[in-house]
Amino acid sequence: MDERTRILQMVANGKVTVEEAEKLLDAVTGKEPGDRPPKTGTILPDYLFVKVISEKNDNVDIKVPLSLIRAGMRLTSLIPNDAMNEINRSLNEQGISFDLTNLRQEDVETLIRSLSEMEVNVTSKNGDTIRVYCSA
Amino acid sequence: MRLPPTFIVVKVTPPRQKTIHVWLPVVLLWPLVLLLLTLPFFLILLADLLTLFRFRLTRLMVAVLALTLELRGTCVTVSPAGSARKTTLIII
Repeated sequence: MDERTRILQMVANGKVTVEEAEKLLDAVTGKEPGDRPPKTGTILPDYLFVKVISEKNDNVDIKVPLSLIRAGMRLTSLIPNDAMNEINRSLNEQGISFDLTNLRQEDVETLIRSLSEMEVNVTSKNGDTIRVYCSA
Repeated sequence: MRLPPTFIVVKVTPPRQKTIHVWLPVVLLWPLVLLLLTLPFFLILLADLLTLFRFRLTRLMVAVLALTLELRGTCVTVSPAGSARKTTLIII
């Protein structure tokens, strides 16, 4: 059973709404949903969306303002140096060469701007679908 | 200027029934929170002054408050399996 048929089957079974199915189909076909802003780089996304649609109908839909993430990132500057060094060492051990001590406000802004072009779609073997994206 | 969350809305949609809206006026708690935070704020500021801002406690408190302000617009919808009930929490 291909992805498209599976989504249509989920609609037929009443597991997802037509609106949710439309978004899933867009994600599967790689098409941009109509309500998404154009990827010009000038429009900053306002929200981070996380949508989980499980085969067992355990659905979760989360919308988080990106300003919350921005404020959370600012907290990293308040982490004590000892703890920061420990975090950096752990990141390096995992193969991530990312130095949190050098994280500046401009970097956070760039990171958030880049999120507008990010979209993560995961479809597990048992039919669960996870979609993470940013939108205005 | 960002305002703190004013309402928390909980929407519960039971199967084949009308949606129930519960509006929690967080705005009424603002004066109380302000009162409760005033004394700790000055104590933290004093502690910071005594330790020459070594622990950056005041900045930490301000950052946590800023984080609370940014909660506006958060929306979480949960539809558990086995029940057709849908619950939505919106912070406005």
